[in-house]
Amino acid sequence: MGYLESVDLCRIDLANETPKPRDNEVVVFKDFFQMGFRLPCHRIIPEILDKFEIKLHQLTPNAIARIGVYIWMVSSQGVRPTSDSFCRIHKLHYQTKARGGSIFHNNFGCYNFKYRRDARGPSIASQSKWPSDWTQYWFYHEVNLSLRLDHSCLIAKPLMVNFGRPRPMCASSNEVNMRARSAFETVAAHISTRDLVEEYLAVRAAPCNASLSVPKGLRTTDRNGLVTLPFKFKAIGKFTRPSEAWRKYIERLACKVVGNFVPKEDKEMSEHFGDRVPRRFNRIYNLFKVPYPDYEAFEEGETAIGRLRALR
Amino acid sequence: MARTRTTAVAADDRDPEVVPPEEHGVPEAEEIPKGDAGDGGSEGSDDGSEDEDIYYVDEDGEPLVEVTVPKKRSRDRPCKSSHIIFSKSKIIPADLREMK
Repeated sequence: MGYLESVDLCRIDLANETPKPRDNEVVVFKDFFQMGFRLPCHRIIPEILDKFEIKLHQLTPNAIARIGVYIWMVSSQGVRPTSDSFCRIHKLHYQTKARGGSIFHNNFGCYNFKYRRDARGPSIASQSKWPSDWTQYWFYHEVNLSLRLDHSCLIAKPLMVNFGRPRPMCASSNEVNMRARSAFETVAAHISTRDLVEEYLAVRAAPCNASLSVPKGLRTTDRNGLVTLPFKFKAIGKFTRPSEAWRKYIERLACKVVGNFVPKEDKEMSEHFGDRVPRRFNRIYNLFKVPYPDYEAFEEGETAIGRLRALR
Repeated sequence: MARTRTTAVAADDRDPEVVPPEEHGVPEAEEIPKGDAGDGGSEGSDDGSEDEDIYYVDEDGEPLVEVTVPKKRSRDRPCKSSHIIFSKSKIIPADLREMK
């Protein structure tokens, strides 16, 4: 899958109910990686955790996806993403179920991010169905000693009960942060979350990866301010050139991150884009000249499962 | 735009003290949408009703930062212990090899 650089950096613990990481280890969930998390991670991730005063193991997979989408939105405009800008756009959302009918709540896998009401975020898509035992797939991942300074906010030893700060104070008015915010809003106004995920998957970028880079060189900017950077096609598996089959493959990959297209997302897009036709907009498919159909609106009473069955 | 000129500091809710469960009432946890198998982080709704915005301005009256002091302190959810108790991991070596 290409999620891990080396298995040797990972350690399994089948004995403990309370994780006991070593000095240079973080506790991670397997599903984080499906959502784009990589180690070493992008520099703003430890900063974000630090500002919200939470630890890595407290995030949900969808929170990881949300960070990745933000990084892509800003980076793909050729602008540097910042943790301050992220914090200004998002609020921390504590979300758990009471355990076993008791009043007790988990203190891991419990925080997601939501857009603030004034943030003008993109049309949302997210994975809503998770195996009930996803939090049981955890392991330790070593953090390279040379990176520990950057990643020190990831490391928690011992793991203690901790609660985050829903809206941390952040500098939002300096030029760097304002540029990031502007890039975010420009993209959010025209591209849905699903298309954003497909964009970064199409160029084989992992936004949460420390090594994320975007190409420099001749870029184009359309009348809406959307930037297309000069990405080159990267072969993936049997797909050696852009094609319809490749595009469908990317769409299936995106479903692992944001789930299937469902009526709720359909409605969200209609509210976000109004009568715009097509609602779908993907800079990477456009760059590689791969046609893509618009999302088909759901009929009254039609469900995602019903549509899937009809297609079979 | 800044609404209020203030030098007030937002109430510090960073107190890491863990309150024993018996001192809490029933927690106000977010409802998980019916039918979800696990809470991998659904979007929920953002009616903003629990928050109060405070606007800070700098010396020139320009907005500096905006912060919110939560009325419902999300930290007030009881946990079973001051140490985090996960469930035992189900990860096996084959899972890691597959992820590589």
